[in-house]
Amino acid sequence: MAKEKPDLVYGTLDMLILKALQHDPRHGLAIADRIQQMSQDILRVEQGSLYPALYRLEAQGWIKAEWGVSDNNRKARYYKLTTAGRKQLAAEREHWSRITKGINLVLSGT
Amino acid sequence: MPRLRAWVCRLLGLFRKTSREAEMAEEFRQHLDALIERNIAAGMLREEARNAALRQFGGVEQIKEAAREQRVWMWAHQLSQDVAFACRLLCKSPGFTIASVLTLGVGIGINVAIYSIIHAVLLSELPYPEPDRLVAISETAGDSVWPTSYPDYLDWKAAQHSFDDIAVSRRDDFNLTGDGEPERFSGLFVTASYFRVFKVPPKLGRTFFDEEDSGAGVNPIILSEHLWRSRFAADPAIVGRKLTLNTISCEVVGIAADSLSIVRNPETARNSQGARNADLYAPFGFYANRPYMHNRNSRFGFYGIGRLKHGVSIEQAAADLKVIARNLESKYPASNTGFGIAVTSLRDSVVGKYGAMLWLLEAAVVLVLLITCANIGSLLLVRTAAREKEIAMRAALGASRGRLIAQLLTESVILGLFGGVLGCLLAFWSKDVIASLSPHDLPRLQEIRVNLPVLAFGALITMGASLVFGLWPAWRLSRADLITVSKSPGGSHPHRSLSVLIIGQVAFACVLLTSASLLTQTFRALENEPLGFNPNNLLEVGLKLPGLKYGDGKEDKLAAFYQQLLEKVSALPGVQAAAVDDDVPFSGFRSQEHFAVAGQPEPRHGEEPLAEAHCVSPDYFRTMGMPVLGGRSFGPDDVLGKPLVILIDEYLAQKFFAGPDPIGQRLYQQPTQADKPRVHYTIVGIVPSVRHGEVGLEPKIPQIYWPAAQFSNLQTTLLVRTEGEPTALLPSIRAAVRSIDPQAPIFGARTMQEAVAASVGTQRLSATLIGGFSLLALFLAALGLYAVLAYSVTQRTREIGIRMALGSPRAKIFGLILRQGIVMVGLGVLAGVILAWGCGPLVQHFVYGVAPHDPATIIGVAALLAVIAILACWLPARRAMNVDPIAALHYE
Repeated sequence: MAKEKPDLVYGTLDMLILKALQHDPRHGLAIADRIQQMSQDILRVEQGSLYPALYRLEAQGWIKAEWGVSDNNRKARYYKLTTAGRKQLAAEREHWSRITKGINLVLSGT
Repeated sequence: MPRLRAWVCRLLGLFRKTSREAEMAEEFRQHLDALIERNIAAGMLREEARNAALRQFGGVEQIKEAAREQRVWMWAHQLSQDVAFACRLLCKSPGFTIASVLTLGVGIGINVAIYSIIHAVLLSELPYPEPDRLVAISETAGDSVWPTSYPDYLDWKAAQHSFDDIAVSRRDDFNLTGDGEPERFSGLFVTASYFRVFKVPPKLGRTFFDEEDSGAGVNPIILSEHLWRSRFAADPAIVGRKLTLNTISCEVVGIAADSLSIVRNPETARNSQGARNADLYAPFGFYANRPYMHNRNSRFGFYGIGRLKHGVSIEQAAADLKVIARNLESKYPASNTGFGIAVTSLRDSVVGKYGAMLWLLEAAVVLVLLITCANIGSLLLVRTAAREKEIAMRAALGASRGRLIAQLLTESVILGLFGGVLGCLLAFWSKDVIASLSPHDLPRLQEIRVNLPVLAFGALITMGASLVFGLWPAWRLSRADLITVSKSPGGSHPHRSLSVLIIGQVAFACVLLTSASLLTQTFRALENEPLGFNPNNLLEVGLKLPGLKYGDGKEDKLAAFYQQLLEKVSALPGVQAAAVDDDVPFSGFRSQEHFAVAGQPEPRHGEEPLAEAHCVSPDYFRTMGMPVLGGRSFGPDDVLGKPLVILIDEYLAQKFFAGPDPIGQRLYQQPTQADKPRVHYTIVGIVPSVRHGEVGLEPKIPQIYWPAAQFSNLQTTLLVRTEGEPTALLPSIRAAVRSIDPQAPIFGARTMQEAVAASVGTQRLSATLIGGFSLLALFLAALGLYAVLAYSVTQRTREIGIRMALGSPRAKIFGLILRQGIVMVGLGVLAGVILAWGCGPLVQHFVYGVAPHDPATIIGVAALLAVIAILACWLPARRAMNVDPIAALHYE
């Protein structure tokens, strides 16, 4: 039901969020920043998609949220990967690499 | 585990709703603040930075709504919200709510009620162990199905390989005397294997032993549970007690469970006016010396049942019995030529002709429910059309389409639930009414109840109906678009959807009315079919005399009894005439005899014509109101020792005596035993043909009357033609019988009119019920039409005002609205006529005396429907005509 923007491949947002949280817990804005930075500004995450996705992931038990203090001393809600989330990330990466491999094979074929 | 934890979180989330909302708001605020700070750091002014951040973030409320939807715990919250909202809406328009719940309640109620009958009669298993293995076994000759004969049964039993066991039963009546008031009970002669086939253990004592089939030791009898309870107060010491039945001393050896009563011997089903199969059971050894026990030709009254061996199919058993039938044919050509053996599932044979009728009723109530759904659907459409703006606004504010549909559906489901509960209550209350309307021989009548499967069916159709009438308006409405909606002042007009629903209602109502009309005509045709006698002021009373006192060898005593009885009863004040007949019309029992005409080519064996046999007293024809058309009636001289005489009916005379005058001609009967000579009878008179039962649907059979004085019968029926109300004479008739023999019980007293009415009970029931359903359908369709047109007038008030202001005459406005209705009615009637025409072959089986495509019926129904529907259009059209143009233009 989330209205994802066309500059993200449909259905990949959840995986990107999980990846952004792989090493450190982050708050919402930092997750968006992290994805933008890692993708060298190619991917931008709209808040309108981000928060529904975060709540969805939380409801599924893949990430966990708690209140903390941000770098510039602000109160922020930090999300962190759960064990189930790590497994999910691994599964989605594996799936993604198979799909892209397939797509690349198709595209590079003569 | 994480899944479980997630569920627990969600569950807790339900209770922490407010803190979740606050957290979400706080989180978004922090996010925005961070964005603002970032923008300020990039060199923007504070106000500018804030606006940029808000733009970057997007619509806060939309995001919140989208985020909320992600949380699965929301569903329960949303549901409770939707329910509360829907309840508020429904309470705001109590008229609509009550009308919808009532219509739905009736629609669902009749469905549940009919289903409860279908469930009990057609769908539920017979209450015996492994009921699928139980079959009915009968003999066949060509297309006709026969009972079997006892010697044939014995041969089957010895030769078959397919059954664990087979058994036969034969209905008979028993007079219980010497133990309080003489009383007559319906009994069954059964083989010892009967109880083994059903696998129903006795409640007390034992069942019969195999040697008791041929008569050994005392006369054992088994009482049914209900007789034991009603007559013997469930006496636990009943086993071993001596009773006198048909003047023979018997000993009670056991009590049989009442579940054995469900499978009724076909003749009990036709004869007994109660619903019981048997009050008591006796072994065949009771009357081991009766001729019918040893005669292969005597295929009367023996009904076979069997329990298939494990893994043996009905077809395999039929093949097995076919071989046996062939062997019997070659071994006993005189009696068995042309006879085969048929095996059918016991459940099918119990249900018999009622299956089709019940499914017809079910089809009718489903149609009514569909009309109900279309009706409420159109009302909902009208209602929700007024809410388009609200809905479009909510869609614009971020409510998803699914969410909107869910909310709108909640309303219809709540209506459905109330309707469903009301419907189940109605079904519960009406089941006794339906049971009392049902023909008394409807099998398994006592098993009808509103139980769990029936309630489950009710819940299922409630949900189905809610979705059917709710989904269309909800789907249509959820597409509402703010821009379009705000442009038209009254919202968009759901004309097309409404028209389809109205046309559907009118069409279905047309189909129902046509069927009801056909069934009613069938019923009337059956009732008014000439009977051949006058059923008014005619009383019938059953009599059965004990065999020991009046039986074989004591015919003179029997003749004396009848003579005294008729003299006494004829002399009673208020009695015009009295007679006896062993086989009165509409008793359900028909005794048949083979015959052949002397002087005509002898018919081949197995092809002798059949005639209905009556043994009647001299005054019979006067009592019945039948004129003697030729020759004479029986007289006082037609007694034992005098020439054997008969009367025949017109049909026999036409069919077998086309040329010569039948009076004085002779008929003869082949002897049942080969060493006896043929018996000849002289025809002395001709009487009208009389119909005998199963009105109209029975094949026509010639009728032969024998004088009761020459062919006396222990069991007969006393017929009394009275001057006034027949039943008023019953006490004096009873006293007259007692004064001759206090031990002769009389039973089954009823007027002939009652008997005739009972014979068309099935047709009456289906005509009454479907008639009622079709009137309901007509009412609903008219109501729907009225509501939709009235709505249309409201919608078009402004347009009508403008038309009037521009000089359109009022009559033209009236015509405008009326035409709108007439077009819908016309299309509906057209569709209905086509549907009804298409259903013709389906109802063919149920109609009599009228063609299933009877043009007069279809035109009549269409005309009736059109008149009612146009009346329903009249009121809204009048209202449109009386619109005040000034007020209309100020409208909105």
